[in-house]
Amino acid sequence: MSNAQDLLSILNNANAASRSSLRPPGSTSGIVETSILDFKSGKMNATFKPNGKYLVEPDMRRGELHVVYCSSSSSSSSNAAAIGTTSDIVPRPPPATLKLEWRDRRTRTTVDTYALDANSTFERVETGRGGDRVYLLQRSGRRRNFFWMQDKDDSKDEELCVKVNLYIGDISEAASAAGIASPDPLESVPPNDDYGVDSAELLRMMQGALGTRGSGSLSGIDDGARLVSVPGNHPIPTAGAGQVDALGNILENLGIPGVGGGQPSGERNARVGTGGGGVGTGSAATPSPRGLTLADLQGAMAGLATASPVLGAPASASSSFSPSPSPSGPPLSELASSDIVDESGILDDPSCVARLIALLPEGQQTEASLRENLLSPQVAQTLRRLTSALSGDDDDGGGFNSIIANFQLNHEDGAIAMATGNPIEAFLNCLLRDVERKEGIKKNDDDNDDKDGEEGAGNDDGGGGSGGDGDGQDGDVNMDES
Amino acid sequence: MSNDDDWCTIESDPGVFTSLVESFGTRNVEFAELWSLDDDALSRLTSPIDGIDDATVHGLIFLFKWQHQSSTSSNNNRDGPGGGEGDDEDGIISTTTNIGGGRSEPLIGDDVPPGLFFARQTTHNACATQAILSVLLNAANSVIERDDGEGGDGGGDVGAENAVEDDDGNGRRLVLGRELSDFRSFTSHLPPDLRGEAIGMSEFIRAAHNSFGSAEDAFLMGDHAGRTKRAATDDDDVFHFVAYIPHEPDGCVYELDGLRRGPVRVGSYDGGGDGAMGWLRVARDAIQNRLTAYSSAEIKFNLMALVQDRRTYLCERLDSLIAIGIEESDPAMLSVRSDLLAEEEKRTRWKMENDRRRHNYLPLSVEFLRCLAGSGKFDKLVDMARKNAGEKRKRSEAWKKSSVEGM
Repeated sequence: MSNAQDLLSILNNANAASRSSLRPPGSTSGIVETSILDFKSGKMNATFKPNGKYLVEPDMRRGELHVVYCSSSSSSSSNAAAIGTTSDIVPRPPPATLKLEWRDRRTRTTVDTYALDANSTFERVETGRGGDRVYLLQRSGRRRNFFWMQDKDDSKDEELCVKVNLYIGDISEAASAAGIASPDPLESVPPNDDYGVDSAELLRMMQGALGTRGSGSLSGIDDGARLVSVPGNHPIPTAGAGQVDALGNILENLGIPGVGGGQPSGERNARVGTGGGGVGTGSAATPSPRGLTLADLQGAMAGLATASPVLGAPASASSSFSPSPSPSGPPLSELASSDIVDESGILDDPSCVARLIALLPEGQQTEASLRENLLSPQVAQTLRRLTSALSGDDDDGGGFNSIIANFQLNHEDGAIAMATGNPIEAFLNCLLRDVERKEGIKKNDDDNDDKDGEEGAGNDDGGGGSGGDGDGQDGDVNMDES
Repeated sequence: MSNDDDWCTIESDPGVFTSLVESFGTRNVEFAELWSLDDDALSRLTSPIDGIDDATVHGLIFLFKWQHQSSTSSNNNRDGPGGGEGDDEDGIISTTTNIGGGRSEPLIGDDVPPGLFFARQTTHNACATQAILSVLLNAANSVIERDDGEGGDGGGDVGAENAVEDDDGNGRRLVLGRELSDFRSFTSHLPPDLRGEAIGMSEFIRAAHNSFGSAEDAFLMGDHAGRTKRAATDDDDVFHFVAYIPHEPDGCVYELDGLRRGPVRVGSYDGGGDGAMGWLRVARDAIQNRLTAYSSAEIKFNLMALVQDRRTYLCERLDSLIAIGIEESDPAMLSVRSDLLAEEEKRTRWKMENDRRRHNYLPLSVEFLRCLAGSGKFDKLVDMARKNAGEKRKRSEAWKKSSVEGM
């Protein structure tokens, strides 16, 4: 997966490079910046892991977030010009803008700046752990940024969060907080800021990056500054077939389905994501039957930026959660509860019982002690540890993969859940599919007692079982007391 | 300096501790948990069965656990146990003055009564074992080994006629075991900090201690003693053990806290008159004094006593009943038999729990999940689990909130 990682590094470097070229160091002339809200908060860093997920970990530095209102009385047209072909953005007196700054409380420096636009949001993330106070800054087409609240007192968290969104949504509120007369509303795309790399440049960079290695070959792309500078006025050349394939590979490996060379661009335009809309119409249009278009890339990049990371814990403990909308897997230890055991009926299934008994401690291998064992604190603890290992709490993040390998499951069965950053669910899916294949799933007529003598579990009949409820496999199955 | 990584944490449970000391080779003892500090609770230790009111209590072991969210206390002074390095006089416990009327300064050097074993704590995870050893190695009237013809006296007492048991464990003396007895001799001339080191470096002690760690750690967490690799969770409270013992030669009760520089005399007792109740009350008062410094939200604690194996009393009683010809159907006989049975059941249960602690439950757990998957109701079951987890979380958040507000 190093390809994907490199891609991101390239993009990061590009961002950095462009940012510095677009904005003169120091403050731009005439811009007045006022901090209108601040609170103690820490950053979190997202690392892309070889196994295809993000690991987001807290940066332990003590810091604070500032919402900064920037107003200006003069036009900084020099900035607009530096963007190159994005001359569609007409230089005009820049409206007031908002940005978020993260400052290090110890060194008293501003470490990060995040430009805010009208689509930005700042919201609390449900981690599944009550003690966590993690917040997510989401901005169109860009990487998500996570923060954790550092003030011991959590009573203001909600209020702060509301205020941040309030200022974003209503610039006049921000202005009055800054004590300044009301300006134009925030634009959807901030014209001059660290967005720097517009999509056109993006495509050029990626092609450039691929180009230095010759067409198609992605092996050994390494980090770093291989930003091939291409003069800004060219129309965007279409990527060569080999490069597009390679690119498509990268993107596919990132879990972004369907992007790749070989499809007519017309189809793909529909998939344009939330990538910056206002950029150079000229550049978007070079259609080619086989090429990747800018629109594709924008869509893919947008998808990339919003892929859900899997997180490590902020302040204290290690746990994992997914901020994506899909429901996350429960802690596995919750499954070893009395009501779930009863509901499942597994203790009435002789083959289940037999298999489980064999794994009990010596001297306790009886049906009588099975239930007690299943509900024991030791099993609960084991499942908690398994949950924790799957979530990649430990160092290398290879927990999920090694567990899957160890139990001879097929990681593909969990790919979807993994892509949304939910390793617990992924694991459960892998188990479920594996059981389907190997042992078969019991059929349940929902409220009947007699099951037509169908006991899927434990029978290897039919080579692969019924694959889920409702599949027919009548009559062949013997119910053995084995 | 012994490495904390080499020692796993063990559960503070009478079954675990009893089994632990037995794995040291110690016999004729067990741990009993106390749920309160009142006289009734103490007398249950000294009078375990009818007719016995002078049962031996070798020592008390007191466990402090700091709760995770004690931001309300002035926690700066009490950061929980360190490594026992500092000459910080008060260690982690706030200054307790005039406990039980005795002096509260730790005794060092020549002030330490001869024969009193005290070791400084050097390895945090070993502190339970260290406290246990403090009691064992100070127990009066202990013998080294069972009377195989080689047993000698350990704790400095004569009286071969009291010497120890036949094979079925009758008799009252604490049998220390060869290894521990050797360890005690070996360290008797060392200063307390080196004694602590010696504990930390004893392969024998460490292996016994670690045998109560958990098996699946190796797979899930990496392949060394494992538990220490876990990041601190809310379950991992900071904890500390302190032992209280009676010292017969001078009739004083001592508090043995590995984080202080030496033993602390907390009071004196009359060994003759009150039996064990005498010294237990003194120790109890000292403990209560210590506890007053904390609020109930800050620390949890539990208390265990090292006592003589209950079965020995019952067997003696049984023997004497038989000797005077009491019938099996006699209520007295029935009562003893039933008590013995209860004790045996307790031991069986302890063994079963210890086997569970040692067992690697990973295969069973995964097979269990597979069985759930095969039940055909997997989605429903997982949903149930999600709901339960959500409810638990809400309840715990509500509790946390209310406990903070309540402060």
